[in-house]
This record gives sequence, structure tokens and C-alpha cells, in this order.
Amino acid sequence: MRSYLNRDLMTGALIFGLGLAATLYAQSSYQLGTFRTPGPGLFPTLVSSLLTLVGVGLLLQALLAPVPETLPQFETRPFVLVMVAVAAFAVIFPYLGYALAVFALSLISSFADDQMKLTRKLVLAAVVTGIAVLLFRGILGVRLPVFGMGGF
Amino acid sequence: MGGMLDNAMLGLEVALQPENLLFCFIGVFLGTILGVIPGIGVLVSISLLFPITFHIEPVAALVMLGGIYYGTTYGGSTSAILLNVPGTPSSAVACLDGYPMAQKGRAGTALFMTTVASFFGGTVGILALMGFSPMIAASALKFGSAEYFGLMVLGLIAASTIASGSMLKGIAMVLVGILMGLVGSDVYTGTMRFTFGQMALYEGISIIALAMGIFGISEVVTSIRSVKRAGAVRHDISFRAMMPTRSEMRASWMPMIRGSMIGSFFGALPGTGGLIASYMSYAAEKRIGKTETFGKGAIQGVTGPESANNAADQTAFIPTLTLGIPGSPTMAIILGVLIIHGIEPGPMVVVNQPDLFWGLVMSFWVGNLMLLVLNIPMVGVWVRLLRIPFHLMYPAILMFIVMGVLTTYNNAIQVWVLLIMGAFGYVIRYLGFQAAPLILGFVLGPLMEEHFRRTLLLSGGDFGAFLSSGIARVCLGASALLVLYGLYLSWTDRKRLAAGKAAARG
Repeated sequence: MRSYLNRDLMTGALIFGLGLAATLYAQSSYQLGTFRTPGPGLFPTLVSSLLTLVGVGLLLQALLAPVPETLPQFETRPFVLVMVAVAAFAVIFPYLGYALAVFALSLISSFADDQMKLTRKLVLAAVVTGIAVLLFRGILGVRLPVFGMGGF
Repeated sequence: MGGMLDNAMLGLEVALQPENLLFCFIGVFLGTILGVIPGIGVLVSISLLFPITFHIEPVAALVMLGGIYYGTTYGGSTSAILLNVPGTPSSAVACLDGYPMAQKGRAGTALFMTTVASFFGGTVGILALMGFSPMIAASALKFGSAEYFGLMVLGLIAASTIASGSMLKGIAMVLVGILMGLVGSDVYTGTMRFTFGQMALYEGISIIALAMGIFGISEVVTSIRSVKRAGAVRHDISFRAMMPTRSEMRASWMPMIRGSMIGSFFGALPGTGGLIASYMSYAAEKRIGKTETFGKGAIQGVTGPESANNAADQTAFIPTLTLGIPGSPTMAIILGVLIIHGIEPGPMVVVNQPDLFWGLVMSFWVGNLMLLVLNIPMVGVWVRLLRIPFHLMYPAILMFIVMGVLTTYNNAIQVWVLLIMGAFGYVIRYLGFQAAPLILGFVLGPLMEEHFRRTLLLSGGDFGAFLSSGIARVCLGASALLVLYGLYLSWTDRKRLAAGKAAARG
């Protein structure tokens, strides 16, 4: 029994979809112009049509010559936690400054690996925050709010 | 030759200015530290550190970036030898014989000889850079848009064929990269392209957020659960233990000379670079030397590839600085930084800003000398650094990535761009794509479009113009051949794999 719904096929479908979407979007939204006077849409349309073609190639390859999967597993836990950590930084920084944003970033991301107790995670986050403030404020003199929205 | 000596003197004058010396040192030093840490390659360390370069002069900035670049390569070999984990991909070859040497208690010697070989290879690479750049720059002055377009196509195709496993996947990444490079306002008409009404994208996707996301964030996600750390193995790294025996010295000279030649050649070609050069050198030494010791701690297996690696790092600057066409993603980022600093790399830089060009070249040499002096006493520190577990390190790495993006743009929106790029980078990596062709496409995309449109404008819409000169014909012809060859290779590869699977099933 052969499963056609493998990663190879997904890859081909992704590239094909991306290419097609970009082609349609580019040629309908931007002026193509003529070859004599190329407009802003010409080059993007050509490039995305090529991408669509490559997607077709990848799909054909996946269907005609399926190969065993050797790629690594999806690291769900680190992936999700790192993304949430960066998002937390982006949300917190504009309101509370970067000290707390860095603290949240470090603390949340440290849960991606479960080798440490909570107290040690808190200490680590505090140390990373200290390094950030010392380096960016103290040494590099970056003018960004450490705490709060404006001023300090 | 007199001209070359004059240029070298001019360059030394610039390179030895206290400010440039200082930034060269900072670059080499930080680069080595970051290179030693597994999970941080050249690209990540350059992306991490280049926000700092915005606060300094262009020459000093370049000198520092160069230092970070070859410093990281050097540091990567250190963790390869001590840990069997290449700190950077291009030092993978150093694992083959370096780690067995370390197991035999010769870690100190391996590290010392790595330093010597790096310095030697770097020096040869710099000589090649000095010799060939003015020639190439002189002929490049006559290039028109069609020639540049052809060269760029060839560079991108070569990068996607040679460096990555699958031809089609490589080309797909180049094309996605070009499209991402086109985001923002069109230079000719001001039309906003692919911005979807997002203000943050009006000036294009920022290269720092892109590189840090695609290389930095996705690298951290991949490494969190997979990076090994140095065990309790004690390495004798006293100065005495570092000294090679006389027979080891004798065995190293020829591999270093051959390695430097191989490295200089492959470094200058688009799409190849340190990794391929060091594999080539390893293969050559294996063929020439007594094969039975290879893989079990042969010093030739360390010094040859290491010279090749470092020579390639230097000659990679030839196409980047003389033509403005980067051959590797690292060079693409350096090119991006140059453009941000208001320098459009190309033959004009060599001709019009000799102090910048030769200053940079000579600073490479000064930096390589610093590596030599710095690393022999510092080896012990690197060993200790390797013992820090990764789970204590990666929150700090993330902090540097995010703060780097934030301080470059002073805008939290770019942190969101970083987040999206990071997620995208990890997903494409999971699907088996290489990010290197993407970043090359990203940097070259806008330049390619400009040359494409200019060629058509000048020829009145005649596509024959792309084949009007010898150079353009050779480039596009070679690209076509490479594509066909790459397709053939990956097809037979897949067939073989599929057959293997069928056989395994029995």
C-alpha cells in the first residue's frame, strides 16, 4: 500500500499553490506593460509562473518516483513555545518596555526544554534580562524604553 | 606587480588605523565565540552582530563583518574537533579526523594545527583575492545589463544546484526569495507590490528580520532538543600538548598548500564555497596519502580541509566585491549590509574607492593574524564554553535575535515580521528546503529585475538582447546545462532511493 499523502507531495502542493496564487495576484493587481516598456507586474508574473512550473515538477516527482521519508520530525513543542515567546515580546514591549518583554521571552522559551525546575527558569530569565539591559542600555546606549512606554 | 604592492600598502594603512583594528578584533573575537557554540552558524552570527555595524563607519563595519565571518568559520572547527559537532556546517569535515585526534588525546595539537592551517589558507586566499579582483573589476566595467542578468541567473542556478540536495527545491527557494525581495515599492513606478496594505512592508521585507528569522529562529527551534554538549572528556590543552611533532609538521605542509589552492578555486565559484572546498581537499588528501589512517585521526585530514575552508572564505569575496554578485548566502548578507551602508558593490568600488576595497582586503589578513594570536591562548576558554548546556544558552540567543531586530528598526512591528519569517523558515526546513538559495534570491531579486527591465527597455522589447554578448550567452547556456544536469541527477537519485526502499521491503 502506498500513501500518496506524504511530505514530498505536500511540498509540491505548497510550491504550486504559492506560485499560482502569486501569478494570479501579480498579473491582476499590477500593470504588466509591454516587453518594450515593462511595467511593475511583468517580472513578478514571470517569476511566479516559473514557481508554479517548479511546483508542477515537484508534484510529478513526488507521484512518479516516491522515496522513503528521511526528514526529521516536526519539533512541535519548541516551535510553538519559541513562537509564543517572540509574540509575547512583540506584545509586551510597546506597553511595558523591553526589560519585561525580554523576561517573558526568556521564561516562555525556556519551557521548550524540560530539563530545569521553575525556580531555575525564573533565575535564568532574570539573568538574560540583566544581560539585555546591561548590554543595550549600559554599553551600547540604545535609546529604547527599558520600562514603560516612554522616558527611561 | 608594483601596483599590487602599492595597493597592499594603501590597504594596510587603512586596516591598521586604530578604529579598524579594534573592530576587526571585536569581529574576530565575537565570531569565534559564536562559531564555537553549536547551532550558530556564520549567517546567524552575522545577522546577530550586524545591527552594531550601523553605528560605525562603513569601512570599520565591513572589517568587523569580515572578522565575524572568518572568525565563526574558525570557531566552528573547534567544536567539531572537541565535540564531533560542527559549530558551523562548513566545518563538518573537521569532525572526520579532528575528533578522532581529540579522542587520542591530541586535541591540543589538532586545534593548534587548525589555527596554523586556517592562517595559511586564509593568506593564500587573500593573495588570490588581491591578484584577481582588479582584473575582474576592469573587465566588469564594460558589462551591460544583459551581462549582469546572465551572471545573476548563473549564480542563482549554481547555488541552487550544487549546494542543495534537490534541484527543483533549490530553484523553488530561489524564486520564492526573488518574490520576497520584490515586496515593497517598485523603483520605476512606485507601485506597492505584495504589501497587502501593511505599512511595515512598504520598504520591503527587512533583510535582518528575514535572515534572523529564517536562520536564527529556525536554527534555535531545531537545536533545542538535538544539541549535544561536551561530556566529561578532559582535554589536555596546555601549550606543550599543542605542539605538533616534527613528523606531523612534515605531513601537514603539502596538504595545506593543496588545500589552499582547492579552496581558492572553489571559493570564487558561485554556489560552492567552504563546505565543498573542504570536502574536495579531504578527498584529494585521502587519495594521495596513506588511506588507512584517514578517519582515525590523520593530521592531513585536518590541515588540508581547514586550509581549503579558509581560503574559500576569502576568495568568496571576489565575485561579491568586484561584480556585486554574491556566491553564497553569507556573501548575500554582506552585500545587503553594504547596500544599507550606501555602497553599491561592483567594479566601481574597486576603481573608485580603493581605500575601502584594499583596506578590507588587508584587514582580512590582519584578522587572520589575530585569529592565530588570539586562539592559541584562548583554546581553554572555548573548551569551557562548550560545556555550557544549550538549554541555558538558547533563551539568551533568542534575546539577542529579538533585541537585534528591535534595535535596528526601533519598531516592534519588525519583531512580528521576524516571527513570521521564523515560522516560515522552520516549516520550509521541515519540508526539506534549504534556506541558502532563498536568501540569495532575496538579495539578487531586485537587482535582477532592474537589469531585466533595463535590458528590455534598451532593446525595445527584444528578448534576443539577453543573448547579445559572449558573456551573457555563456552564462545563460551554462545555467541551462546546469538545470538539465541537476534534474537528471536528482531524478536518478530518487530512482535509486525508491529501488532501495523496494529492496528493503523485500
